[in-house]
Amino acid sequence: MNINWGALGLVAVTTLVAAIAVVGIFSLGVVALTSGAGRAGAVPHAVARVAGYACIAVSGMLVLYGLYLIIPQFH
Amino acid sequence: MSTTLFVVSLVIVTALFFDFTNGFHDSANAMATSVATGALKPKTAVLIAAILNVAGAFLSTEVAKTISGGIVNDAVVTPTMIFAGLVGAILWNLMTWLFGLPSSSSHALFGGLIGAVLIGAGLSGVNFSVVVSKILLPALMAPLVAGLAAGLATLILYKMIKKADQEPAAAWFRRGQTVSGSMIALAHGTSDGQKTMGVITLVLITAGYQESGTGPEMWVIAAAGLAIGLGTYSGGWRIMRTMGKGLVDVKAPQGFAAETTSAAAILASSHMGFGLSTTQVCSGSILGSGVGKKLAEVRWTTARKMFYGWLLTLPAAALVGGAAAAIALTGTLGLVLVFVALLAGAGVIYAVSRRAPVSSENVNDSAVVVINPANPDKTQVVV
Repeated sequence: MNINWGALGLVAVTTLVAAIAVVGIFSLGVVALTSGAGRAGAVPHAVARVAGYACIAVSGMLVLYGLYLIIPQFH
Repeated sequence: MSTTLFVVSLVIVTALFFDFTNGFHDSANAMATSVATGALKPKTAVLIAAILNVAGAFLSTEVAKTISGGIVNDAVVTPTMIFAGLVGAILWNLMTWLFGLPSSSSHALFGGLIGAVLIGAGLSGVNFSVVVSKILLPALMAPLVAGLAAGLATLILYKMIKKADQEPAAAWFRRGQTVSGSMIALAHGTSDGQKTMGVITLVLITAGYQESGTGPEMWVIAAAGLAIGLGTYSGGWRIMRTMGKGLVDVKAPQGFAAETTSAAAILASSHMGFGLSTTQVCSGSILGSGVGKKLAEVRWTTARKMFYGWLLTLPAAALVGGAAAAIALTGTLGLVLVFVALLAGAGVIYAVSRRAPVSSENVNDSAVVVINPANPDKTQVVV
């Protein structure tokens, strides 16, 4: 029986790290961008807005990396 | 028309039929949570998934070197055995669809092939250690890995954002979910669209209609892409309902966490040499997103039925594949008989599904897929 435990472990750890990283970064962005909500008519602070969009942009770049992995023509 | 050409044509038609069932079985993987949370309208969701599936099929046309990745001994496999294997896989796919159960189309195909090869070539045709290392072990690990990752991601998400289920946060998660769901659809197209192309190409080569070592013909790529795309667009609403509402009543943040985890797991598994079934990854992520949210309700009875379905996939498809091989290998008449039986079986399953149909209109109206509406208590499969 030839079970590739190393590859399995690698897949498990990568999935865990990647999922938590992307969800965490995107959520951080959402926290920043919705930070003013709750107070009536309030909008997020300018710093929060910039930081929020930066987080969303980082998530977007991770999506582009995913596309790079999916599309074989890039390799 | 020569007998060979007739057999080859029949195998190709059956392979495309399998590709179609593969599409509607798996469109829920990419889009079920987006449909359930209202991130996308049902018809829009399946249209996006279908387009990305077709795009994926065209992007990745590297010929598969083996049909089964070593699970059966490809040297002894004949077009008729492939045909019988496909019949087993199609009928199992339709059966699980009727019951609204997500199950792996690849495992169904492997099961069908194993049954057909056992009948056609005996025990030596099947590599049982590969069955364990490539099917059984991944089937256990996929939901565990995806469930754990999605559970932790969901937990962290709700810790960071107390009002994640409410607007305006939920709107952001719906957007994120649409993107991650689309990634799954594209990745699915590159892997599964290519599977049918590989089957058809190998049959053409075996029968001497194509040079050995050449890639799939343009018409094969187009036909396989179209079949999986049409299947995806038709939606598989029964499975969509189970995955979006039946296992967990998915909210936008959970859907986002689940789809992102699934995309990460699928990419990791296809690039690190340990194949995991897309269906099992996506179902595991959805379960994890239910456990990870405080007090979220996971319907374990439904989850248990799904696990039983996974355990049954291989032997059930093998049984049908074996029976189909036993008849089809007797000659052309047997082959035609099996094909007619396939059409009849598919017709009956479709007719039964019409008693309590699930469509894009009513997919979100309930969490339950009913088989017999006259007596729902007895036949209710997904509670």
